[in-house]
Amino acid sequence: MCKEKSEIDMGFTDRKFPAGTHMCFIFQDEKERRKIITKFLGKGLQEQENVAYFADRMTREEVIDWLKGFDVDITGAITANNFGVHDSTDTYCPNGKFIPVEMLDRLKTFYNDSFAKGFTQGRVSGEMSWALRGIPGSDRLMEYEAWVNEVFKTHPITAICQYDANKFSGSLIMDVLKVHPMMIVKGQIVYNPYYMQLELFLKEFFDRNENMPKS
Amino acid sequence: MIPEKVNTPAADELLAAISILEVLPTIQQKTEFADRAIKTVIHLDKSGFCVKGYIPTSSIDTACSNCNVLNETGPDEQFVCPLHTRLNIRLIPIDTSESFFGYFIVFGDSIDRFIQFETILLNFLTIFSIAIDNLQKSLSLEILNLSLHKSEVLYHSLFDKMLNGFAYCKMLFDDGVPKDFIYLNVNSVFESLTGLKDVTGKKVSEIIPGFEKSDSELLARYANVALTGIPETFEVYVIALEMWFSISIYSPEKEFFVAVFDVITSRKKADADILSRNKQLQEMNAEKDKFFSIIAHDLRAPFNGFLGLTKIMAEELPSMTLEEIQKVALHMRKSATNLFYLIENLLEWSLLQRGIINYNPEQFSLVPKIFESLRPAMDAALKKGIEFIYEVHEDLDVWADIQMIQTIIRNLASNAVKYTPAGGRVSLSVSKTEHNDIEVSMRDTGIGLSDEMIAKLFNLNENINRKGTEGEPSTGLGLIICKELVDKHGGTIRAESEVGNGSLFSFTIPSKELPSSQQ
Repeated sequence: MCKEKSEIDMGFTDRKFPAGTHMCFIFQDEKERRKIITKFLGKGLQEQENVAYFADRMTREEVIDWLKGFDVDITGAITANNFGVHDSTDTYCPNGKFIPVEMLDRLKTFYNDSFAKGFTQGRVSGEMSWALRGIPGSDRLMEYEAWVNEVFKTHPITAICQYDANKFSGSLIMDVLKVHPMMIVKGQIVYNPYYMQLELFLKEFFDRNENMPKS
Repeated sequence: MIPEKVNTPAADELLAAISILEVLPTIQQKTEFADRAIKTVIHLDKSGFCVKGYIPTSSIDTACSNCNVLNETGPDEQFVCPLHTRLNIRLIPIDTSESFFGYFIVFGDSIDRFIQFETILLNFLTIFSIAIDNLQKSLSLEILNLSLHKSEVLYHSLFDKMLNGFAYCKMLFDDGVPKDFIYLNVNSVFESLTGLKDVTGKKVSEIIPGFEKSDSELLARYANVALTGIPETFEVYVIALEMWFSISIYSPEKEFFVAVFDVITSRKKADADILSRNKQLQEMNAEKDKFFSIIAHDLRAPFNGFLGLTKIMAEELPSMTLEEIQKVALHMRKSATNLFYLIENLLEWSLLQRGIINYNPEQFSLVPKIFESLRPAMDAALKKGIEFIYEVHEDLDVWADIQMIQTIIRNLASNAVKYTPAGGRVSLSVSKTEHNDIEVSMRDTGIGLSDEMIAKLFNLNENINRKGTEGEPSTGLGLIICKELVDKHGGTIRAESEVGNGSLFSFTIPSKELPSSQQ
């Protein structure tokens, strides 16, 4: 059972981190991104974890090609159903609208299914650029990200949220920092000093965005 | 590189911000991010700050060779940072196009560094032409705030650790008349000096009820300083507290005053003691002057007689008969004896006064010592035909100096025989008083003393020497010496008499050693 294994090998760092680590990866360099994400996903497959990738800028095939470069039996993994590549828009906004609570429920389901299927852990990474296309509800992304930390306390999925520095505004990047306890800097996972507890962040966030509907 | 020692949470934030800034590709993104992540001037837990500004590109091609700041572009020439030993500086680039827009970050290990190096720091910023509105003003303001904070800490520390009491107060007036004041702040010594607790925020009338009446003059002085701003320093007795204070008052602003004070009650008491002792010494000195003038007069009389007799012998000896010579010689002996007694008494009194005669009390049986000292007086009484009676029913122990007690008894017995005519009676008795002291009394049936003479008996200023009933010499010092000796024992001496009906002299001495507090 996966509960026996609480220290997660991220694949790109020597140090292991607890299951349920929620990280943001703010990147500019595509090469660097590939390097980190392929190691992260590949290690999950090696460790017999339930791994999911939410792609936005890449196709499913491109992602699989990436991973082929990594020393892992990607074909076997797909056959064994422990790796799924999904379109991020379909995942986050299945009905054309982003509803945070529904996505949180999907994460819980993913985690529970991981156990049910006998995987050791649940590991996901998502490209977050879908939120920049003006999909209804996408302005609630930060609210969702803040709640993810609460969900991960009971459903400890290990996750990397990818934010493309070339696309997100500096202001939004600042919010990204406030909702991720850990961040990836120069290939290393570090504690994020800007991280805020859920209640504090939501208060500050809604004070700043008075017209935003509260969940 | 950013120094490794920078590990405060705020510094961590800045390091994280720097990492993000390096990732964000556009100036707009950097600015947006930095605007939220880094303020114009940031305190980094008092250990550093960050300034955003424009720096000409050319300026960044230099770096401090010691702390490696500003060296990211590979400097052609080395710049020695004047702060390298104290502060570490790093320039964070954002835009390198026309002018350099970046973050100038300074780390230090304490507030002192920034205060100490304010001028250098400002010059350093000027060197790099950091063009930002009011940069210097804002930086100076930050440093001023740090300085003020430090000053505040220092002053609080000073006031709390000073040995003087400190009170900052607001005067309260009623129709222009001072009525009360409020303690706004006091230091920790205030309570220990005055004994007044938890005064801050309270009126003096609450702390010391009735102060405005009992110490109205002091209240008026406080009010005067609070209104005029003219400082005052004075010593005052605060009636309500029954304490003396030395107070300096000044007014930091109208209607407010600060009192810095010390309690001087002990010193005042010591001053009063010194004044009293001085007065006592002056009186004693005057007494001695008078005494010596009397003694000189007393010495003159026997000397006059002596000189007259020796003149007769020198001039008329060949013509004098043996009987006449013997008569003159007898007179001379009498004069010489008088002089001898007088000088002997003077010497004894002088030794007593100078403290040369040691007071060595001990417990001893009194009666045997009395008998030893009575022998000369008893011989004299026998020759004079005076009856000497002892009324001693029991032996009693006393705590006294044996030599001194014998001197007292010798003098009193000698006086009693001297002033009692032939056929008279002298009696000595010893008894215990109700306070368990021992009283020795010498009663005679002699010529007695008037009340006026009794009043002068033990007074150094007066001399009442008179010859005995058969012309026995007297120095007038015996009773004075007796009083001195009795005083040393903590006892009393008194005289009762009536002219023609004899006298009673008695003194008391302790039967046991007195506790030290009563000695």
